[in-house]
Amino acid sequence: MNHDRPSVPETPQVVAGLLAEFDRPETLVAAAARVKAAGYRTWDCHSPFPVHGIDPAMGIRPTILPWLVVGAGTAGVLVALVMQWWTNAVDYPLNISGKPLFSLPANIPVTFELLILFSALTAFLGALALNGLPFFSNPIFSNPRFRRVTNDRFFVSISAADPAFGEEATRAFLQSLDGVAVVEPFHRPAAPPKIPAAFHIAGALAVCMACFPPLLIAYARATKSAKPRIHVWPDMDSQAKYQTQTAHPLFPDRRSMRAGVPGTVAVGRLNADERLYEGKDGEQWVTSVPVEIDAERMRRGKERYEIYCAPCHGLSGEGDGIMAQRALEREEPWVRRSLVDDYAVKLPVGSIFNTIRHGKNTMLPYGAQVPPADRWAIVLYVKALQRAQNATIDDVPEELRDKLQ
Amino acid sequence: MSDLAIRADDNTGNDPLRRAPLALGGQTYASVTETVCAVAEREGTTRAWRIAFAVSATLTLAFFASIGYLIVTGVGVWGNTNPVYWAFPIVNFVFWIGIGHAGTLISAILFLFRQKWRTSINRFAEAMTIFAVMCAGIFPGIHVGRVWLAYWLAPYPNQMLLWPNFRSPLLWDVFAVSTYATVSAMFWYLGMVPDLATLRDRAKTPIRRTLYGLFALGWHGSARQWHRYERAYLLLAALAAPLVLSVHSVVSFDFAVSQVPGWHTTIFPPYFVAGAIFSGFAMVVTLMVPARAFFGLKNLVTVRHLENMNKIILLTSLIVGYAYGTELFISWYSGSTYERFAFFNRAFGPLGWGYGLMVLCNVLVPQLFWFKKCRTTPWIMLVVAVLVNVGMWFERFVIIVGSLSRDYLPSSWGHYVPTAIDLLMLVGSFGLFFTLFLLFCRYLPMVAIAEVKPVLPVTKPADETA
Amino acid sequence: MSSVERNTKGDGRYWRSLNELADAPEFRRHLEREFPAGGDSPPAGVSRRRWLQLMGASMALGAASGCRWEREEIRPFVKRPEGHVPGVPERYATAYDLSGTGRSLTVTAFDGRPIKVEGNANHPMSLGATDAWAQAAILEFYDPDRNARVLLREQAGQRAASWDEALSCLRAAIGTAREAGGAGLAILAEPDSSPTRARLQVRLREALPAATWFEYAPFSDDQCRAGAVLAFGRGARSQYRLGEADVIACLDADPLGHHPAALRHARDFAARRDPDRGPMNRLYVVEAGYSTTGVCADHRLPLRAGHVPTLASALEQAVTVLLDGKSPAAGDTDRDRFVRVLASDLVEHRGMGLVVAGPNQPAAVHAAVHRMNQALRNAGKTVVYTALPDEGRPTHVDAIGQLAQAMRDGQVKTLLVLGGNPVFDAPADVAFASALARVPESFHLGVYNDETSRACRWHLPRAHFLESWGDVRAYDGTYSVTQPIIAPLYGGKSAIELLAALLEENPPGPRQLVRETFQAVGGGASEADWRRTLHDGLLPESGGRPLELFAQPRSASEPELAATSGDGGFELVFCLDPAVHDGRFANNGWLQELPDPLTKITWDNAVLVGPATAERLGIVHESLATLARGGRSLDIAAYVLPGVAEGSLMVTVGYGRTAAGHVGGDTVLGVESVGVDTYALRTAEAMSVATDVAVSVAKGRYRLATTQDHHAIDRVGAAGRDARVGQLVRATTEEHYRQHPEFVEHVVHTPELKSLWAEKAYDGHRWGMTIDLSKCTGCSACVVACQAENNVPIVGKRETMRGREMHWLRIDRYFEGAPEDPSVAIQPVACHQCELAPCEQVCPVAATVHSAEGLNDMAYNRCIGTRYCANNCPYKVRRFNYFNWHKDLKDARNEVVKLMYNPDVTIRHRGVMEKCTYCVQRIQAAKIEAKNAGRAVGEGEIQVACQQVCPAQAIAFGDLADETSAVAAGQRSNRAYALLAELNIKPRTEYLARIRNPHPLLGGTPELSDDERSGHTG
Repeated sequence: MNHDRPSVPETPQVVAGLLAEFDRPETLVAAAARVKAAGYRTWDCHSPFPVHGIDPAMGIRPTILPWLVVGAGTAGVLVALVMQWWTNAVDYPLNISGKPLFSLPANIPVTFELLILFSALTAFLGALALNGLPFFSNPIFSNPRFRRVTNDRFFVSISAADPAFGEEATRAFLQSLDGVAVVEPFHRPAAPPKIPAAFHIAGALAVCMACFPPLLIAYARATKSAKPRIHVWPDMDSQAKYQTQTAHPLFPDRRSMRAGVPGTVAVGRLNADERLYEGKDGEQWVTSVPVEIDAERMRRGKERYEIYCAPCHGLSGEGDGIMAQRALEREEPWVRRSLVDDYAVKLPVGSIFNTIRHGKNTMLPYGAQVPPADRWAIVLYVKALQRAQNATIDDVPEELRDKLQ
Repeated sequence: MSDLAIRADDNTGNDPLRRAPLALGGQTYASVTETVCAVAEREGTTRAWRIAFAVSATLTLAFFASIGYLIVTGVGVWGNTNPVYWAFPIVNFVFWIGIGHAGTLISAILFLFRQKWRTSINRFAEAMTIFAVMCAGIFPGIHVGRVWLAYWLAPYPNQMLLWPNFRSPLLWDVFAVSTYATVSAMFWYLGMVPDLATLRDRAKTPIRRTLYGLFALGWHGSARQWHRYERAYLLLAALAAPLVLSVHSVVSFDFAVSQVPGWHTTIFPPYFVAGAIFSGFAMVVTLMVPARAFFGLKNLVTVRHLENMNKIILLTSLIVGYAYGTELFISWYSGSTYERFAFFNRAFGPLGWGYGLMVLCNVLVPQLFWFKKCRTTPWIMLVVAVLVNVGMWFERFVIIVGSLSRDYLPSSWGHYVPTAIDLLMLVGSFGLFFTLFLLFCRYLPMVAIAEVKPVLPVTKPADETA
Repeated sequence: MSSVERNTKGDGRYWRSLNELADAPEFRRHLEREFPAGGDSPPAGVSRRRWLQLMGASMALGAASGCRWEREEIRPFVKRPEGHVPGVPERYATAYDLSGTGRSLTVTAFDGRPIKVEGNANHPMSLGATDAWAQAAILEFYDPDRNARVLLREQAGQRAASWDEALSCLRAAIGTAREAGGAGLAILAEPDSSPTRARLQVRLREALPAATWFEYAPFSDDQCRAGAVLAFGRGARSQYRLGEADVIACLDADPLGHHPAALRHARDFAARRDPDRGPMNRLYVVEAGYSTTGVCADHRLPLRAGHVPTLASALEQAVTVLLDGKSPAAGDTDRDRFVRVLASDLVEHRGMGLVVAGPNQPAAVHAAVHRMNQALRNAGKTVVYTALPDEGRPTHVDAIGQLAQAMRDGQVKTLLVLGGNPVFDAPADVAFASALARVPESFHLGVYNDETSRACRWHLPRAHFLESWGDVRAYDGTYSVTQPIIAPLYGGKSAIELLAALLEENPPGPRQLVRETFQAVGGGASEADWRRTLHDGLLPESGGRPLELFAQPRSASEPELAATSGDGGFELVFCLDPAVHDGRFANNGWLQELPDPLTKITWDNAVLVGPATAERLGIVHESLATLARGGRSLDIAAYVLPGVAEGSLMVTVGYGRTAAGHVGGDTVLGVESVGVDTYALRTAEAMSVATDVAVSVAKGRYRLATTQDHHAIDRVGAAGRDARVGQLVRATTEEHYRQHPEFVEHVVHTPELKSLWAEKAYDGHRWGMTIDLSKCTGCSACVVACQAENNVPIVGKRETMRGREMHWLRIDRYFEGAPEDPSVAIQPVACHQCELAPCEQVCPVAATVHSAEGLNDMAYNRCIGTRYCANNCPYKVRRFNYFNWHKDLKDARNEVVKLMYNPDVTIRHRGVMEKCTYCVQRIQAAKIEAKNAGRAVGEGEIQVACQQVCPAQAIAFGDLADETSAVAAGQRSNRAYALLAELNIKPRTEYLARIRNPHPLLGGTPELSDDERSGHTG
């Protein structure tokens, strides 16, 4: 900061203005009146404390600061009200104690505080801004005498920039003011002052540092990491309990999910009717479907069949499902299993039911996915397919036969 | 401290014909500057200061250590329990916030009332305010169960799409206290700018010059600057005055808005504000009496200043006492079983001793200030002020812990015992307060130089008032 | 299985230790079979090594999840069991035996892991309810202190061994015994109703006739049996029909509390306590200390247990006299009046009355009671008799005495202890431990490595009932099968498995054993019957047939009924503990922290004394008292409890365990034992009441951790409390209620309650609850049920002392009236789900808000813990996590405990507020189910945990919007009132005022003689 260093002779200086020093506030006021009368424009008075009656003497017009503050206050009120109404009543309305979503009384405190906050900030920052602060390189500081302005001396300063300024004339004028102690010039460097290299380096460093965080973020976003993300406060994100299908280290198969003990019967799983649930009658496979047969069930059977069975066995049951076809294309080993050949036709329904439930050879069990009723529906549909695939002309009603010709 | 200085030229007289000066010892501008700056510019530090600083700094460290322990362990390290879910931390919070009221009040309200005697003490009081508010601000922050989520109190857009609940007095608190901290800080700093410039211009070493210069913002006391400066100062004062009143009212809402018997009281806002001013002034006196002796400010901060403050203490003490009475009457008059019990229990229950202490310190002891002798004798006022602070702490303790420990269902009445951490944090907060205060005394202008000068006798008699 | 391999081959460091394990041959075999028949537990042979490996693994898990999100892994079934949908809980009917009586249960399993126990609604002895002990069984099952390994004691101490070693050693011992026909082999078993065990016992007797079999339990019904023998000439078991009884007289009996059929009794009793549904019954209780029954009594006469016999004889005389049409002897002490009124009441309600004597009373009292019931023609109506399953066994006291003698004489070479913990709970003068030391080969089959295990040479880990096959008979004889819910966690064996293993080299599996018994019990029942029995949880019609018995008049041989304790001095009464039972549940944190229904003590036992006695002794609350008896003495904290009979000192047993575990105390682990072992003063001749006890005040005070009256309450507080109890727990007499049906409205008068704003209307469900104070017995089962359902943590003694207990549901207890003979008011309090909830508006972050159905929801994740809501809750039902109460789950040894928690409920972290949610997870589950089925949620479809467990059905929950629902009806009833309604917070939970039915001649004057009592002040 320039004023911190006493003016250095080698750097060429030019006069920036003149200072007149006084030691009483009253004389300063009188002097101010005369300077104003002399028609100077860019001049000022300086004092260690606000001097009574200097404003009229210098003809300072009242500042606009109060109006700025009024504006800010109004803004504060509006911001507060809109914020509280929008957040609590519009954006995320919640039923809290059955109270109305927006009611003025509850919102007055915050409104008031924001009114004050906005106004105060404006008053503070506004005052600095209007005063042109901070301003460290004021040439007026170049005169060491001026340092007493914050202690016990009063000054009039006239800037060289003033059209009426002439060094000699102005000096004479100032000396003619009564009560004046000394008149001295203050200087500014001819060329704009050189900023020392240290400042440059520091600035450059700061800029580089500032670049780091965004770069890191960009990097993190661009790259992938196998590690789970960092988690400082676990809070309730991972809880000491086992959700379904999670791993538990204490069991050899490491499933927290356990299979029931063989032979136990869960509530609602009595499944007393052996024919319905096992497809068995004593030791024999049941030969007739133990559920009543109707179109609805047949439809259901078709639907389930096409979901679970058709991929391998084919829509027509001839074992030409999409899996089979793909296996053939890729020449992979595949046993094509038809559901409509003689072997299958001869199977008792109970056995088909049992195969759906437990699987067979390479066929996986569908007991878990397909509940018994649906299994029987599928069995029904398979039976229908067998009938259809092995149908003869006799099976077609008379009146329709000619259509087939 | 010797009373000779005061005897020498006493300005505590109330003779209307003879205007008593606000500064003694025939002060000139230069002498005022000298007196105030000498403290900040002294080479090295006095032994007393170093010892005091060592002690308070240690306590501060202990304070932050215990906060760390709290955060890693859980709020269970305090004595809080069911049903006393709030205890020491909130008591401390309200206590410090209360203390924090004197400064802005002196600066703002006395300024608006053109009480010129404020000029010697306002800087001091404002500083105290800032530090007290800092102490106060810490407690609600660490009081929540999940400190690391305390920022959820702020209304910011978040991925949870959730907003805070503006019906909650706690949220009002957040706004009130943060606003208050901001405004009083600005008020303090703005007032200090010209004096920082003074220090800048007197500075001997480049470091001091640079630092003070940095904060002085290049102030050069021009009449135009002074003009806007005074206007801004007036505006801030005008804004701060209602703010002071609002802050403690909002704090009192934390209790008044709830339905705990003993909290649910309409007189809480004025009652709390009066109490805050009361404790604040007491704290100023507590600090001022030794400070003016140690730092040789007796001629600027005269006995008259102290006496005026003591008068305010006496007044507020009466208000507080009146509030205590009203509470009891209303609880009886309400006819509600629970209200009646709450106050009967407050006075005669397990915490009755606390209530007694509170009445003694806040209502009875300050009555000494009816006597001029007590108002003007520093050591007496010091004792009274300290007792008032003790009393005010217990007032909050009795209100908060007393009411919570016995509310509606006797089955869930509880018993509160503070833990070592509770006590450590209470003491620690004082440590922080005094640490900051000692630093302030050592490095910043303790008295508003630029504000004292206009009221000096040497300035035009027109400006001289009492 | 492919998935298993994929995952076992190293992903991440933490499984590396398990890869070694994956190479172990037996684990390969596990991989071969998706569901190993032997269960998923490590094969017994290598269990220890495997255990350590697994421990290592779980520790590594701890390390892996450091400051990063924990690695999540999906472990589905490759072949899903049929009908099992992951995440959809299943229920299994099962049963367990508690000291000789079977209790039927329904256990909820989440993904095959038992997580909650309920009563079996089909079972006549449960009707869907359980007691606190059954609720806490889950915690016991997952207790890491349950020993996993066979232990062998050597000079160095216990070392791990294998089942093979143990069995071979045991078989060898039996082999040697077999030469002598079994002489030298003794078996000490805890009473067990298992028919399979009985069957095997018979086979054992056949195989080894000279082997001796003893049974011992510290508390038994021996006196009742002896009484029946006196009266009927044969043993019999009384089955009470409380529902039929208009007048019930309990002589030191506790049919609603410590009775094997208490659940059924409570249901029947409560059914008669609703004045709006038919006439109420009247309950007289004579007892020394407070029992659950005493709390519910209309008339309670505090009387030394030792004086009950004289009262019984007086009553018998009075009854006989009255029956002869004469008027009974006059006399105007309270006691005489009580007897006179009771007798007349019984006679008036001939055939509809009931006299019950407690197991602590001598046989003669029981005989007298049997005679009375017969004379009053109650027998066959309100009480029927069934045969004893094990007629003619020696009494437990004799049995343990004989065995100890035999051991001392060196007759016992091999001792096998099946369950129980005799070293801890045998009578002190039997000196069982010292006798045991004389036995060369001793085995103890126990769930824990407890005192007896450590005194025996071998400790054999016992399988928990949730993981083993078995069978039981309920108190009424109904047969139920114990189904394992999960394969054994650690290689434990059940008692029947062990017995079978003694009988043959390779015995049939446990299921087969039970199945064979069932064949016999069910009389050649088919597989279908078997499956149905498993499914329903009982075999219908298998209960004991009622016996036609006639009580002979008192025989000359029969002793005169005389007081067993004098008027001076003191008597010391030993009671079963409502929490830790006889000590077996001492390591169960839920039960340790369960407040005693009357004293509210947790984590401790104390000697209870009446105010008068305390004064006489110079004892004050929480001062230490020294109890001395026959050279033994102990120091125990005193608790001054109103209503304890003058001269009686009550202590509960089961505390002071030295080998319970990390919770209950363990000298080896260096864990301080909880409470004081009062068995030290209990001797064979004074199992229930000791009269020769010397009491003195010891130095020092002892702080008890109580959840109510956290500190001795001062005069101001007491006055304030007494002033409002009447408003909080509203009660009156039936008579007064009939005259003023609307009396509850007049207890508290408030101006019309209005809100300043338009209140929200709730269309759709409006969940609500009513709690009937007439029915609630304060048994506290609901507290534990809530804890189990909602993952409520325990906080330990120190924190409970501070008042930081976490129970969502608490049971408030107040005393009214004279401290010598007060009446008790019981009030369960949980979150009332206020519609205008005061807690919500003060939360700065909107963490607690209202749901569309009017529930007061708590968003744990949003809560930052300002605790303002708790301040503003007038019921103080909110609970705060001051610390991370689940911290110890980070410890590897507790890995297994995590399996216990209800996955549908959050595990709350520290710094978060929590409270009762009306079991919102159950509400949601029911709603989802209904939605999938495309129907509305029906009445009774949702049962909240506390409601489901309540034996008295005091709690009703449902939809207030549904006019027909029980809860809506309840809130419409005259007795309904909202607690603190004057605050206008519109709670959804309401109480039904308690109605008592005192006899007009015995202070039948209503407590609320006029409405002005307190109403107009409130």
